[in-house]
Amino acid sequence: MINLLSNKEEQIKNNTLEISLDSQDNKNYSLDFKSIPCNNLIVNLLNNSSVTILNIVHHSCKNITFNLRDNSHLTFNIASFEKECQNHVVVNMDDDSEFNGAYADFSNGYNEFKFDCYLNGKGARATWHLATLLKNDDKKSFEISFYHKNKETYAKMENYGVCEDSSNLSFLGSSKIIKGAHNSATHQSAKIMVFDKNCVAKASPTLCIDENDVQASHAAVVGRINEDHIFYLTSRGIEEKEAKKLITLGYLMPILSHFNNQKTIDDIKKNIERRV
Amino acid sequence: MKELIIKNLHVSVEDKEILKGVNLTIKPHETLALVGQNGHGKSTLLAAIMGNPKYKITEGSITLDGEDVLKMTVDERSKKGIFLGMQYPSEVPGVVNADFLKAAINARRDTPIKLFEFYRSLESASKKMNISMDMSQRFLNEGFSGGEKKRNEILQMLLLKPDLAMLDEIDSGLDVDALVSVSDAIKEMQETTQMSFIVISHYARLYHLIKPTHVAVMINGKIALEGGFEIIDKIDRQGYEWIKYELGIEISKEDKTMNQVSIGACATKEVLKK
Repeated sequence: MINLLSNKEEQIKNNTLEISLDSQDNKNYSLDFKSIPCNNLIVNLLNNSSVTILNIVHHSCKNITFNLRDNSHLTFNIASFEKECQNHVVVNMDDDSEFNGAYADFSNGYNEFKFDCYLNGKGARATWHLATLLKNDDKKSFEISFYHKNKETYAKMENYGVCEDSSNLSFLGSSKIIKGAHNSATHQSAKIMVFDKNCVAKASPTLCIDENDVQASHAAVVGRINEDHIFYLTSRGIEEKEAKKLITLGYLMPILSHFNNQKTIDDIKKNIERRV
Repeated sequence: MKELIIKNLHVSVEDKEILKGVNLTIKPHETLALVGQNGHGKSTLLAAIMGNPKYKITEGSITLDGEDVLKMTVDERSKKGIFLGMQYPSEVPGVVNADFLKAAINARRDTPIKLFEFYRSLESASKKMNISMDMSQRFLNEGFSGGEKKRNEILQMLLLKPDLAMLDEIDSGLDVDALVSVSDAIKEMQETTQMSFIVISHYARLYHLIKPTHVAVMINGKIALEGGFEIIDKIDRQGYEWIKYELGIEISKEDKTMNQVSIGACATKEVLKK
């Protein structure tokens, strides 16, 4: 895996570093937010390029912008494990570009993450998957938004959260389809499983649609662990504590299917098992 | 192996009394056919024996070889040898079938089962139930057809080897071949172990295949009649009306109520269950 920031001509202007990538063989890059030598990073994916960027988030407060030119393809995997962070990612998408984002968040403390995806080009497609676990007094907010600004664009987001103890989680964000973006589709799903009475959980997916010829759906569920599931597992001899662990792991583990780096998958697994 | 004795059992669900004094004894190696119309408490009895927290025991006792079952947690009851093959097995998203089965097997062992031994047991049980090994890598019951779910219940029974298996409408949703697989598995357990069974079904066909040792008819939350296989034949031919005239029991009608819905449950399916 290549460090995204190495061997690049680095020109920092106005606290911003801009990088262009022209890979057509799906190269894998790593990026540590903390190592970005300024507050803002812009990554341009040139026409027809296809790359995967794996980002391990440590304590950081950065703005990252990806510009996906025509027919480019970006897989963006984020994993955060330990430190507090506050980051903002923006994706600008041209014709027929594709973005697949996945965020496995098992950090402690405070996390405020904002993600804005502008589907500017015809046929642009974006997906977003998130799994997060909160314990103790963790406080986290994820604001994920898609803006459909051209016809035949597609976006799908799935956010999963598990809250324990006195933690506080918000899933916010919206999907907007402007007039003229016909034949577009946008789908949102947010699910939060709450374990304790002192948890605060909020899921608020919104749709703003100004075009008739579209497909759109949104769903939000905040609730306790399903008692029927617990009964089913315990009726096979599994202790209640172990049953809850299995169900929680089952809620969070599917995020792994969106990652393609084995070491990161192993690290995420270890973190999930340690924290659950 | 083990004797289950139920005495004067009263059970309520959401403050409504469903079981109104059930007395029943299941001895080792017996197979009891528990029959009766919908809504009269058959499934409630099995759920109460298993310890479903939705069902409140207000009076009576259940003992297994003298041990108080009602004092045991659900997992303890399972580890003591009680198994419930459910009418509507839960779909548990994210929990891989194989991981669940391994956890269930390990729950009753001192040392975790070796991978090869687990794989061999799973392969053997899957073959008997005509289940593809691929199913073990799918999420627990999620997306399974009705028949696959029921076969998966029997597969669990084969792997966990309980002393008392309670099978709640295990034949519903099964095609002819699957029904034969299920009944063959039950027959094998009847012939090779001292296991006892309580089997609920609305169809004589399953009972003809597994040949219960005795039959109990549940009406209005009580065991109204016990006897031999002739009861099943009579119900199959005449329905339940004759009980009303012969025993002088007024048979109450089933109530239909909506269930609570929580995460992971499909509201439509919850309503359709009732």
